[in-house]
Amino acid sequence: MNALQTHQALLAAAERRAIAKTTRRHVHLSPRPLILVGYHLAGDPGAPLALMWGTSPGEEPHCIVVPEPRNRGLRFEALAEFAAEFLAYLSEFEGRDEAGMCLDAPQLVVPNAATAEWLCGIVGRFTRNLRADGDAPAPPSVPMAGKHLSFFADLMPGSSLVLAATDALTTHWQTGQLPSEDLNLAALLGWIDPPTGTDGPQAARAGEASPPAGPDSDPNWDAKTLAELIKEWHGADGDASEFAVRREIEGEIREQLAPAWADCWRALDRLDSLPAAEHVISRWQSDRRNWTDHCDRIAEDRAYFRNIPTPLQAAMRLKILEDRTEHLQREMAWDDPLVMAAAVASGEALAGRVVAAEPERRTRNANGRTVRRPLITIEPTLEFSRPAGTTLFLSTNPGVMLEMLPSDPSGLIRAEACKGANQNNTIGFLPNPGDEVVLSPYGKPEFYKRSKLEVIPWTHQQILEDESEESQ
Amino acid sequence: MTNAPGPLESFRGEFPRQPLNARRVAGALEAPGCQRRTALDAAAVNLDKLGSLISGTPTDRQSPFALTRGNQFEQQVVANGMAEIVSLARRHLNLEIPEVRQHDLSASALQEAYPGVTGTKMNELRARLTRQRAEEMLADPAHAYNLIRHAMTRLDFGGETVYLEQDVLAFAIGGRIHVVEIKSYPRIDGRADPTKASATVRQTAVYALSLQQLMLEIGAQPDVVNTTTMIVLPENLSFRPTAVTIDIDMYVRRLRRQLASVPRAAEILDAIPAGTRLPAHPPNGAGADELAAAGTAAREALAALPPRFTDGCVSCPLFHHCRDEAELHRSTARLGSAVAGACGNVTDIAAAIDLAEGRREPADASEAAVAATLARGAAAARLAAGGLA
Amino acid sequence: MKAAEAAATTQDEIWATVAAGTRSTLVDSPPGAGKSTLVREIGRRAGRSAQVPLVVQTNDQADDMIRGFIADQQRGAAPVRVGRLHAASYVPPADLGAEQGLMFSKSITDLHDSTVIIATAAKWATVDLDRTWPFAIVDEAYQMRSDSLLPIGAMMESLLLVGDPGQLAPFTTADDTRFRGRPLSPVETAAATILTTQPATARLALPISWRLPSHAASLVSDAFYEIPFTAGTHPQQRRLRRGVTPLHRGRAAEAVNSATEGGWAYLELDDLPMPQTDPEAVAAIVDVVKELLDAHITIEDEYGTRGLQPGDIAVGVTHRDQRDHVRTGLQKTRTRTGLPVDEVVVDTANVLQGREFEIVVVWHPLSGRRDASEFHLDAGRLCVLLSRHRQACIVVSRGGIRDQLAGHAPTEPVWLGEMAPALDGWHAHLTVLDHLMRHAV
Repeated sequence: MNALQTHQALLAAAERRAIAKTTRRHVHLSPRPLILVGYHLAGDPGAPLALMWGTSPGEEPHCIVVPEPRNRGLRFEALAEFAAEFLAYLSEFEGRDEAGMCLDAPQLVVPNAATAEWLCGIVGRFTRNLRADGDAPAPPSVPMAGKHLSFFADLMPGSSLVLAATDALTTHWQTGQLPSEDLNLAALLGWIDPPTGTDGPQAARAGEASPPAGPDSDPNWDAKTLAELIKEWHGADGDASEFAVRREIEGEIREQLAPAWADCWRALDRLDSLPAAEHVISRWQSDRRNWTDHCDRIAEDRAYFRNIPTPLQAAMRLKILEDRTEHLQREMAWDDPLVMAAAVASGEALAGRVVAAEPERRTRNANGRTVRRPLITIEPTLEFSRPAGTTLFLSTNPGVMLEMLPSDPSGLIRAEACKGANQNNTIGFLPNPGDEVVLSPYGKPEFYKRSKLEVIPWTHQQILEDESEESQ
Repeated sequence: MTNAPGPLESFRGEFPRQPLNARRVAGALEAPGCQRRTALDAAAVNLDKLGSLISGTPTDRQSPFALTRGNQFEQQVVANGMAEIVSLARRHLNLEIPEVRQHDLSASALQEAYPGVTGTKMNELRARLTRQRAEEMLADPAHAYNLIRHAMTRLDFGGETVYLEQDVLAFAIGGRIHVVEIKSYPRIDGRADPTKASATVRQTAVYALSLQQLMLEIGAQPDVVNTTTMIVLPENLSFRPTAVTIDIDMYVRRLRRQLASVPRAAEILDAIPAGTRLPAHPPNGAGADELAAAGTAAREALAALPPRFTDGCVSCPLFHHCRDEAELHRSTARLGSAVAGACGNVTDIAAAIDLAEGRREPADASEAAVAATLARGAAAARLAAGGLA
Repeated sequence: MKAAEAAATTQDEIWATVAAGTRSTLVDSPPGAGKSTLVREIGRRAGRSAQVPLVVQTNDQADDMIRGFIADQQRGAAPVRVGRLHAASYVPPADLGAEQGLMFSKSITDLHDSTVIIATAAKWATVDLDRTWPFAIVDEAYQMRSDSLLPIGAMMESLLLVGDPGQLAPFTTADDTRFRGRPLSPVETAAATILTTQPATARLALPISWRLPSHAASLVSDAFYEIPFTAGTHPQQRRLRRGVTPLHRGRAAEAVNSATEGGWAYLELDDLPMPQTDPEAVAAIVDVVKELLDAHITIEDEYGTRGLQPGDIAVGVTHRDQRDHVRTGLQKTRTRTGLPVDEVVVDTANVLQGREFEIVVVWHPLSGRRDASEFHLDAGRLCVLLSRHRQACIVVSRGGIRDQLAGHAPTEPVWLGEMAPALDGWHAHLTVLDHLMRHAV
């Protein structure tokens, strides 16, 4: 937490409303998202209780219910119904352009990260390898849906293929409550968008009182209502009474999940009120490419997912994860002055006014050659105490790399351009006296050679016991 | 023979008790230094009931489905003379349990033999029997019971002795005590939820520490208790038990230190106005007015006990109440440890903002430092806003 | 001398293990135990049979190793042809120019004649994987990440790994949750990986710290190391003497006195929660540094007697902005008094790792905090800060540390299935605090 965030939290508490942390929207919003909410039976993530989904806030969402969640037959029946519609939605995004890339990609919207992890990480994980043969076979749509869900479980920072509403909202707004309280979507929206006549804390309290957004249901509701209904189901004799119980359960579930459903749409609405950040487009391109590759693998029947990654896979993943995390941080700062302000507040970025510039300055480098090193002198607006030798980049043009020179007692900061503004055709990028500038630690990403390792070396060969890797 | 009630009993008054278990002790230490919690824990007040009375909302009990599943798993694991446990112990603890000779010391199991014994007297009885069995187990490993279910041990908490329900399985094999915990959250692809695992490990540490103290009481060495414990969990989504071992010595040592730092409950109560006590809990079916009145009385009693609101308070049954209190007082603590820490000695939100915006002069060096830091944040935000114009 | 014998015996044991063809050997090296000397010696001996790659983690470490080989040679060790493999952007330091047998190159083929080849793990990863070597030495195995060991394992058939288990572990800025809870996570240390996959790994430990004075070695060993070690010098061998009696009795002067007399000082400021860049703490540290230089201290040790120079002193902090504020403070004092206080090294524990100084002033990681946090409780950080010195260590802090530790709820997530952490930072902090209180001024 840096000084800016602390200040924002204090303001939010004082004003009793969430404070904007950004001036831009840093996630992509699809024109056709799929909102998914659901519950599983308490203590048993492998036993879905209900799933509710839809693509339009005006329409009533579809809902499947497992009247006895511990019954495998009923479970797969419900999952099959879900899978069919899920695959239908995904098939809308298979159309390609001339280059072979999918024209657009799907976007799943869930209330919170826990729902995403459950649906994609657990339901996806344990349905993707189901066999269409053997006893209790599952219809092939279920493992297919599982493969897609597993793809959605594997995403990187900066991806908008899956939006967890709580995460997306807390990226853009700061509330006046504990970070763990922000995990409650209803309470979070209470702070961000309190109904007229109430304020943040009041709306948050009301939100806390509403049924949970999932994937865990309200344990009191479980005890009072769900337990009764499941008992009724077991007591039902004949199709007619089973049907009646089903309808009753569905009614109850719809009532429980209705707030989560509505809140997801509210979250998208709030996000839509912000103008898109510049790099949202390129990140969505990346998502489209990722989706396209996945579609290719599915079409060619080579969509494999390891339950336990090998050390090589884990190392590669970590490298990509680190790169993407850094890229996202960088891009958000470039795109959004308020995000960059956090770096200024923490002392990593320099904000100030250029008081002098020497575009023609030349010095000798370490090899003795004369090189052109334009110099700018900056009067800092906020104290900046990074030492000489620190590398910084122009926030408006990160191709321009500057190195700080030793300071003098005047308090002015001197920085020489090392790259990006040193030639006659780029000297125009050098800031002019009078310009307000921000120099940040965010430079252009460097590209490293990918590792060529294909075989696990002896140092990382695990002694496997008799535990199978792909255990169901 | 009448015993005048001590300060803890006086404070608890007619409010329902709940004997401590490891979960409660571990939970108490998630928000250490809170005198309010310490007094309530030392007095063994039923916190769930207190929490729901004060907030007016029913407690979040555990879902019956989760309970059922947990029981089912446990029953399966301990069935057939604990066959699964024996097999897992052989594999993961290198422990040969030749045959399980178990003894049940739960209150229900003892009721027949000891009719009419209830409450504190039952706790004392169970603790005494546990001690006797433990002595026998170590003295005669070949013939004595080698497993006690529902043992009762003691623990010093805030200067008071509390009775602890032992939910773990403690096997006495070959002169050592081995602790086995059964939990029903899944281990998926070899990994278990780290938050749940953290709670499990800290709870098991409470049991282990209490067992170590029992060893000292019976004249044995505390290291008779093996700190390498085995935790049994369902594998993936099935009921197949899988186990993982972990050395909880570090957690036991931490726990010992933490318990030593728990404020003395008696001292806490000395400092509150005489006669402060919790109300009786209205009976089932009581009207809204009665509940509201009791709630108010409870809140008043609590107000006398100083709280310490931190991020760790979320799991406490009194969370909503203390949070609302912190919000009412407009304290920086309400925003969490990160923000409160950044504000240093400045505990009032409005004061912090005034310092940040230069509307208030710092009273001392600490406030000056906070003012400077927060002012940077405010200035940076203003710069950003200006840059957009 | 007993200590020297013990060290030599261990070195021979290590060589015997390696020479016997042991596939993996792991040597725990406490601070200042002669790890670099060991690496060079084993490199020389093994280099008689085949070319030996030496894997380090940073360019600075690589350059220091070259300097070590040169110094060894000057002291009479057998000359060795040293190859330095480096990235394109690397510029050799000015002092490593034309040495006999020393060769710098971006390409491994140029170094075919070198007895030892020194390069960073990152550079080794770019070497063509078809090549293999029978034996290589990995330095700082406890600071190296497991994923960095992968290409090394692909190229080297057997390994000697050396490192300090008590110091800062490697980390990632990304969210590593998906990797935790399983053995061979890419974020664990290279040492942990080798121990998991090669249970037959020979484990040895260097028994002596040549850096830490006797009154520091016992504390550091107790608080931070599973395998104990002792100081290589006895108390009389290391001494600091004040040359000048202070004009005023301030707390800085008392701290310096305590340090010169007993090797430790704990300067505790008022118990107040403060932001990270506590100006009073900065002022106190600057005062102590000024006092150290004002006092004209003489250093006596096994190498002789000499005056304390600014470069012999370091200030260790936790955060970069703390570093920046201390540097600014020292700068201002220099401008005001002319004393070369700004020539003192000021840096974070991460950067000070591996270096040594005569006197270290430490800004306690928990100073001024309202609540301890896992980051600030990290044992490795505290160990690094307290194990850089040869003569004395002065710790500056706000009061209230004990309350902070008591008020901390260690509820960090527990990953079942991972190797348990070797050290409990919380516990280490308490041990250290107990010790520091005995030297409070």
